[in-house]
Amino acid sequence: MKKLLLFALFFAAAFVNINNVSADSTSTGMGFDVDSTMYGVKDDYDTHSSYSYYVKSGTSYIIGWSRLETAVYKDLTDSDWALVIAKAQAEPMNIKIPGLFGIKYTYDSITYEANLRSDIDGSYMYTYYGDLYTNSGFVMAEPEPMIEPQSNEYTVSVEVSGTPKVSATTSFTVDELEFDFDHSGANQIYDVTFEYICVTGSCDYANELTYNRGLFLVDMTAGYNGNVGDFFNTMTLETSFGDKIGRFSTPIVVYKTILNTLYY
Amino acid sequence: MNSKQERQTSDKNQIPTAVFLTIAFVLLLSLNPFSKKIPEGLPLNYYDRIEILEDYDTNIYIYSDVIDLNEHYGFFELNSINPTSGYQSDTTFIIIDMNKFIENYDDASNIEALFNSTCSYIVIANYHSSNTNYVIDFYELTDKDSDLVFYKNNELCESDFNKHSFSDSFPSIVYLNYAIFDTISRIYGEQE
Repeated sequence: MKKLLLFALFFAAAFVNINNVSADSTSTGMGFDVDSTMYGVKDDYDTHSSYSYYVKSGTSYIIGWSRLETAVYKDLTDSDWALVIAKAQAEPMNIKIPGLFGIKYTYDSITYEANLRSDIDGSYMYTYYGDLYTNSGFVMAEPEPMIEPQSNEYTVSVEVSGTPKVSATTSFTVDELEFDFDHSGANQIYDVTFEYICVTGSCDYANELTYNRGLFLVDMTAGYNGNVGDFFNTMTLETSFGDKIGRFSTPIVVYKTILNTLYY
Repeated sequence: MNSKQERQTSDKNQIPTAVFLTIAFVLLLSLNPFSKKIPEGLPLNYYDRIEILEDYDTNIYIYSDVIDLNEHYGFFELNSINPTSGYQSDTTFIIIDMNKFIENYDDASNIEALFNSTCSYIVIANYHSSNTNYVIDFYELTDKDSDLVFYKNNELCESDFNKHSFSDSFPSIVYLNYAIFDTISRIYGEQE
């Protein structure tokens, strides 16, 4: 009886373990729940941060910080596909800046928009030795998560302030945040712009540290013409920061682009 | 002179005083001499970031001739890169300025040995601006244009830390010093 009980307990423990397959720490850290059974652990990860500077009278003033994290996973169940996840962060930073008669005033910095763009066809990278690598031929599928497969309507994750949410299917209210999206399999471009412009309600999030995420599938069957491994992708984050006071007149907006490279 | 005339003369005398006081008040407000001075060009959260480092009892070791944390945070100056120094704390950061490193070392093996022997953070500064040809094992190809990268040996330390890397150079050392404060405080934020 004891043996039977122990066997049952071991069986139950094994069953629980099997069903608790979780995402790797990179994807959970970026706020995604990537199935490790299907995708394993990441094949590559890249991240870069940058400050945006407003230059006045020869002095550079930091008015914003942004960061792009990206990771790629092979689809272990179907070698025709790869999964790319991206998490972007933007934080406006207030400064004291000289105004009339040199008297300093507070420059209330806000985020205007964050553009996340991946153009696999146009990917390139200079190595240490000055060689130029190019690749082409990837076709990108619709980004996930989708409301329905093959539809043109996408659920997009948008997170405002605080800590990033775990769910990858968070949707946003249209009147809180405007959003431009362009995805083309033909042009092999994934392009999404999170615009921090409120139509109604509060715009407080434009002053805060915010998170935006994107996720898309890459069709590997189209062939790969580059000479850096089997997969190569560059993704850019272009964040724009500016003065809150100027948003109803002529804002001075500083754009900053960050480039990440993924390959395996 | 009657009392009305005296009052008018007195009022006229008070006008310049009021103007002077108003200007002085505005200047006092704008200059705010009692507040701690933030280096020109850096954000208003400058001292908030430093406070976070203090709250965590952060130890910073620096191998550099120029990185001085704007003299706003105490640090230990390193005269050499010693892999056997026994830095093991999660709140210890070892900053290696490649500008100084390339003047004193023939190869990068000391940095690699240090990386493989400690669970502290290894910070490579000025890699791009030093125009170095050093190939450091753990230094990633995609960071070749960076002047500030934070690494940690995840295998040795069973850590989930993802590196922090800046995509380009800084206008001056003052900004790099701020980036060190800023990044360390963000690393602490990620750990919570």
